[in-house]
Amino acid sequence: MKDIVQKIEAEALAAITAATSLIDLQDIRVRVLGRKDSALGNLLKQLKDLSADVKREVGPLLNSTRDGIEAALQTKTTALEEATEAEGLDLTLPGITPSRGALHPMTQVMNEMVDIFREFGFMVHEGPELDSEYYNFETLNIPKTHPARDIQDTFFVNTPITRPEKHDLTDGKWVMRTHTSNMQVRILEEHEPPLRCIVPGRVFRNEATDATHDHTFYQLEGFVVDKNMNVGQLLWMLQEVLRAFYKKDVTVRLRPGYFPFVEPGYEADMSCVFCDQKGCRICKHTGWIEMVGSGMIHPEVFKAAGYKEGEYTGFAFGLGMSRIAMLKYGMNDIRLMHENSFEFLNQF
Amino acid sequence: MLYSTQLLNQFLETQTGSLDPEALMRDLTTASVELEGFESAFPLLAGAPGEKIVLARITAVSKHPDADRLNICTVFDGLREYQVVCGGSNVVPDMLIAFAMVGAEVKWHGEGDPIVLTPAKIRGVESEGMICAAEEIGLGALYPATDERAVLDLTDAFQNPSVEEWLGKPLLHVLGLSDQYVLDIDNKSMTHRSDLFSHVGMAQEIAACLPNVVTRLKSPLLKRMKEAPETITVTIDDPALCLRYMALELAVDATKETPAFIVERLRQCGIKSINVIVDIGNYVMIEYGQPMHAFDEQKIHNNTLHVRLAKTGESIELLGKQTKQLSTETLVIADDEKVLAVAGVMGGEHSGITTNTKRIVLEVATFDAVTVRKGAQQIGVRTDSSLRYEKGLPEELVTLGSQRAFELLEDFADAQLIGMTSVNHATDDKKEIVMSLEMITRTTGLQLSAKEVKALLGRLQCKVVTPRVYGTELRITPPWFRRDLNIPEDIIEEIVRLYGIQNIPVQPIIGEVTIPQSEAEYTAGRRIKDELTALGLQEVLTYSFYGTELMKTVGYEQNGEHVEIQNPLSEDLRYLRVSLIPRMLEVVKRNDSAPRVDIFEVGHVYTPSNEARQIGVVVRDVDAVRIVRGIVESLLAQESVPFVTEKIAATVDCPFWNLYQGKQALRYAVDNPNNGDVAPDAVLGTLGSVSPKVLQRMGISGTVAFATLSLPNMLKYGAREQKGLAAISPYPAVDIDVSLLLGNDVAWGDVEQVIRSHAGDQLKSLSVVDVYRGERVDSDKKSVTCRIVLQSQSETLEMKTIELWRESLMRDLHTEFGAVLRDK
Repeated sequence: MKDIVQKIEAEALAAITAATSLIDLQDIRVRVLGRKDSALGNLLKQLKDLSADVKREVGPLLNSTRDGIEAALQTKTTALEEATEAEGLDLTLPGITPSRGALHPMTQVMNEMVDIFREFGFMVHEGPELDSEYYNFETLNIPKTHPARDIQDTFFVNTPITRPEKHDLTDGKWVMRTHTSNMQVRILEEHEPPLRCIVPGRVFRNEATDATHDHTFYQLEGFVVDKNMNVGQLLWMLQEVLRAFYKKDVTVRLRPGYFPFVEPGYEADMSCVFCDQKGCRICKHTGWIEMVGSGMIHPEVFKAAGYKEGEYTGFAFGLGMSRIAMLKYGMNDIRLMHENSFEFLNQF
Repeated sequence: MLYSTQLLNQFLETQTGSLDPEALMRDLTTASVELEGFESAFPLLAGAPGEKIVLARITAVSKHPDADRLNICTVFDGLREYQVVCGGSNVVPDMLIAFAMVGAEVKWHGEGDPIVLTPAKIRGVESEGMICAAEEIGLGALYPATDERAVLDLTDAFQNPSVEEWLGKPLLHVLGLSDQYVLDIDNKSMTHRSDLFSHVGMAQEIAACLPNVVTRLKSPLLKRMKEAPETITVTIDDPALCLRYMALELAVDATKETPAFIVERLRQCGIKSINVIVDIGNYVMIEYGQPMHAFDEQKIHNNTLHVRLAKTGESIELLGKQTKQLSTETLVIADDEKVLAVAGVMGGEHSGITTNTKRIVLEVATFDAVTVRKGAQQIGVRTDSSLRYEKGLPEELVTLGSQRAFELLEDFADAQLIGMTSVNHATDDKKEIVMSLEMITRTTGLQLSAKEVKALLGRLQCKVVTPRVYGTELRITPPWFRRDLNIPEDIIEEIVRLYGIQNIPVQPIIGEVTIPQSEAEYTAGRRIKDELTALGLQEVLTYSFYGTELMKTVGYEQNGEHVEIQNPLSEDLRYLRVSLIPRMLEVVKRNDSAPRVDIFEVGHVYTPSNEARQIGVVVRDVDAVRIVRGIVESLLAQESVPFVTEKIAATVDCPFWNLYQGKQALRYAVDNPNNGDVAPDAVLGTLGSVSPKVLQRMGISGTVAFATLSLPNMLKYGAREQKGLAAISPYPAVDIDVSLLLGNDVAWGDVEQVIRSHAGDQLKSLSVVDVYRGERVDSDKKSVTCRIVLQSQSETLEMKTIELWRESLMRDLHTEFGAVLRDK
C-alpha cells in the first residue's frame, strides 16, 4: 500500500514538473486527486474498509501525500501563470482612438467668453440674424444718412419679410445684422433694468473676402443698464473679463472712439498679453491691442426703447470674437473659419 | 489722412517751434484721433541711408573720355575727395551739390522704388556715389529743376562764410528739413469730426489736447474781398442740398508756376501739382478744409450755373476723360446746355483749367453730405473733395475758404475780381447745451468743479456760462466748426478726454443680484451641441448664404420661400439658406478624402415669415442612414422628446424631393396620440439618404445620409424637466434572437409594429442585428435577424412561456408578411 502511494506520488510529481500548461495541470489534478476515479481518490475511498491499525498508518501518509501533490500543483500553477501573464503584451504600441466629436473652435472660444459673463450674472440672448433696419440701425441712433447704412457695407434683403414683431416694420427694409447690437433695444423693450446682457452671434458685412475679412463673422455684444452706471465701471468690467479670459493681469486703456449708439464712445485697448507689452508683431510693437468698441449708451437708444429721459444710464461694448479666436490660436487667415476642412477642425 | 507738420506749425505756438511727432503719437492717440504713424517729409534724406546724402563741393570737372554727355567730377566732402561720373548738364567747379555716397538710397528720375548706391564703373571710369538732381532725393518740389538734366545746385543757398563747416553734413540738417514730418491719421477715428479734415482744424485740436501747445488762430486773419457785381447767375433747385454757394469770377494768369511751398506741402499731403489755379484750390482745402472747384469761364454757357439733380440720360466726361452716366439722385452743376461737374466730387473735362484759361469761375459751396456721398458712389469716384463733403461741412467755411483762395490767387496768379455771386440759405441758429455738473459725475465717476469744466471746454473754444450765485447748471455754446457737439453726453465726452481718460477711477459694479433669464434656445443649443459631440460628431460652421448653382446641384426647385439678398457679394451668396444641408454637403465634398465624415451644425435658417435654429446632421458611411437615425434618436431621447416616425414619399408636395434618394423621407413628429394630422409645430424633423444623382453632381463618393431637426420644436416638446427614473426590474431579462425570412419589399417598420404589440410592456429592447441578402437566401427574399429582449416587472419569465410567446409571434408574422424562421 505504502509502495503504491509512493509510486503515485512520484509519478504525479514527475508529471507536474513536465507540465507546460494550465490545462496539463488540470488534467493531473483530475487524474490523481479528483473525486471520481482518481488514483489517490480511490485509495482514500478504500480507507474506510481497512483495519484501524492500517488506517492509523496509511491515513496520515495518504493525507500528507495529497497535500504534497496539492502544493506542487499550486507552485507549478503560479509559476506557469507568471510565465504566461506578460505574453503578447506590448505597451509601446500606439493607442486606438475612439471616434470623437468636437465643437468648432469658434464655438469653443465663444462658449469660454460667454461662460465668463454668465459668472458675472449676465443673461445670454442670440436674437435674429436677419433683422429690420429699425433694430439694426434706427433704434441705435444710426440715421438713414449714415455711411454704415450704405449698400457697400450692409446686405439688404429684397424679399418682403412678414414676421410677427412688436412694432409694425413692414414698411422698412430688412438687413443681415451688421452687429449684435441689434438686440440692445429688443432687450430693453422686453426686460426691466437692472440689466446685464450679452449677445453672442453671427454678423454680416458686405465686404470682399481676404485673409483678414469675411462677410460672415462673430461678435459678442454686452450691455449693463442701471440707475447709475459710469465709465469707471465699464473699464472695470472689461478689465475683469479680459483677465478671466486670458488668465493673466490685463490693463485696459480707453481712447476716444466714435460709434453712433454710445456717447461718450471709446475704443478699448488691452495691454498686449502676448508679449507683456515688450512689443511684438501682434501689438505692432505698441504694447496695446485694440479689442473692444465701447461707451455709455446714447440717450437716443434709451428713447427708442421707450425709457424716460435720464432715468437710467448704461454702458455697452462689442467684442470681435473672430479676431479673438484668431489671436488665441495664432490663425492668420479668417477664411479657415468657414472652410470646414478636417485638417483644421481636427486640431481642436 | 496725411498732415504736414510744417503746415500745422504755421498755426501753432510750441516751445521748440515745431511739433514733436513722438508726443503726438502718445497724447493725440489717447485724447483724440488715432495717429497711425509718422515719417520724415523727406524719407530719402532721413534714417541711416539718408545720412549718406550730404552737402559737398565740386572741386574739378573733366570730360568723360568715352561719353559726350558725361563728366568726371572731383567731389570734396570736407574730409576727402571722391571721383564721380555725372551726367548733369550744369556741373562746374566750386558748385555746392547734394552728394549721395555709396550706401545712400535714391530714386532714378524721382520714380519707382529707392535704389541703393554701390561703387560703379561707368563707361570704364570708376564712380563713387552720385551728384543728385533734386527729384532723385525727393526735393523736386522745393527745388524745381531748370532743365531735366540739371543737378541740384545749392551754391546760392549757402553764401555765408561758415559753409566749410557744413560740408559732409547730412543734407536733411543742412537744409533745415529735419523737423518736417508727415503724420498719418486714421480717417475712421475722426469720421464724425469734419473740422479735423483740415490743417487749421487739426492744429486747433492739437492745441486743445497737448500741453504747452497753443493755437495762433485767434480770429480769421484774412482780408475782406471788395464788393463786386453779380456777373454769374446761380440757381439752386433744392436749397436743402446746397445751403451756400459762392461763385467768384476772376481774371487770372493760369500759366504761372505754382509757388514751391504750395507744391511741396501738397506733395506731403499726397496731392499732385496740376496748375497754379487747381493747386491753390487744393491748398486751401488742406489748410481750411473747404473744397472748391474752378471752371474755365469761357466754357460756361451764358454765365449761368444751375445746382440741380441730374436728368435721366445725362452723362459727364470727367477730368481725365472718363465718361460717366448720371442718375437722377446725383447733384450736378450745369449751365443752360450741359452738366459741368458732379457736385462736390469732380469737375468735367470740358470746363477744366488749361494754360489758355484767362478767366475762371471759382466755386466755393456747401453741398449736402449724403447727396455728395451718393454722387461719388454713383460715378464710382471718391476724391479729396467728396471725402470732406461726406463728413458734413459748416457753411461758415465758405467765406473763410473763398477769402483765403482769393488772397493766394491774387498773390500767385495775378487774380483780379470781376464778379461775385453769393447765395446763402443757411440759418444762423446758435445752439446752447444745458447740463449739470452732477450729470458729469453720474456718467463718469469724476467730481469736477464748474471752474475746471470751464477751463477744459475753453480749450475747445466752447463758451461756458455758469449762474453767478448758486447752482451747478452749465450753459455751453460750442464753436461753429463743432457741429458734432449737440447734447450733454457729447460735452461729457469732451471733458473726459481733455481731463484724461486715464484719470477716470476704475470702479467695480455694485448692484442687484438676480438669476439671469437667458434665451431658452441658447441654453438648449449649447446642450445639444455637447450631446452631438459626445455622439462623436464634428461641428462645422457654414455660410448662411447660397446661390442658384448650389440649389440646382442639390436638386432644389427655386421657390418663394427663399429670402433673396438685394446686393449679394457674388452670385453664390444670393439666397438665405432654408436648410443647413446644401452647405454641409459641400463640407462632405471638401473632406472627401477623409475616411469618415460625420458632422453637425446648429444654425439659423430663414424664410420670409420665420427665422429659426435648425440642427443638421450629415454622415458619409456605408450604413449612413442607420447611423443618422441612431444619432437623431439618441438626441431625442437625451432631450426627452416623445416621438413617432413615419415614412413619407413624394406624394407630399415639397420643392426639395430631388435631394432625397427614392424621393422618400422619414418624418419625426411629436408622439401625440390625439393628433391625427401632424401640425407643423409637431414636426421635429426629417431624415433621408442623399440621392445618388446629387452625390454624383457634387463629386461625393460613398453613401451620405442626413437629418434636420427643429430646435424650437424639440425644446417645446422636450420633457427633460419631467424626466424620472424607470423602475429597475429584479427579474432577469431574456434575449430572443430570431432570424426571419421576409419578402424583399417588407418594411422593417411594419414587422416591428407586430413585434411591439405582441410584447407589450414586457419589451425591454428590440434591435436589428443583421440584414442579409445573398446566395444563401432566395433572390426575392431577405433575412433579418433581430434581437428581442423581454423582461417582466413582476415575475421571472419561464422558458415555457417564452416558447409559447415566440410561436404565437411567428404565426402572426407568417400571416401578416409570410415570414418564416430561417434555417441556420
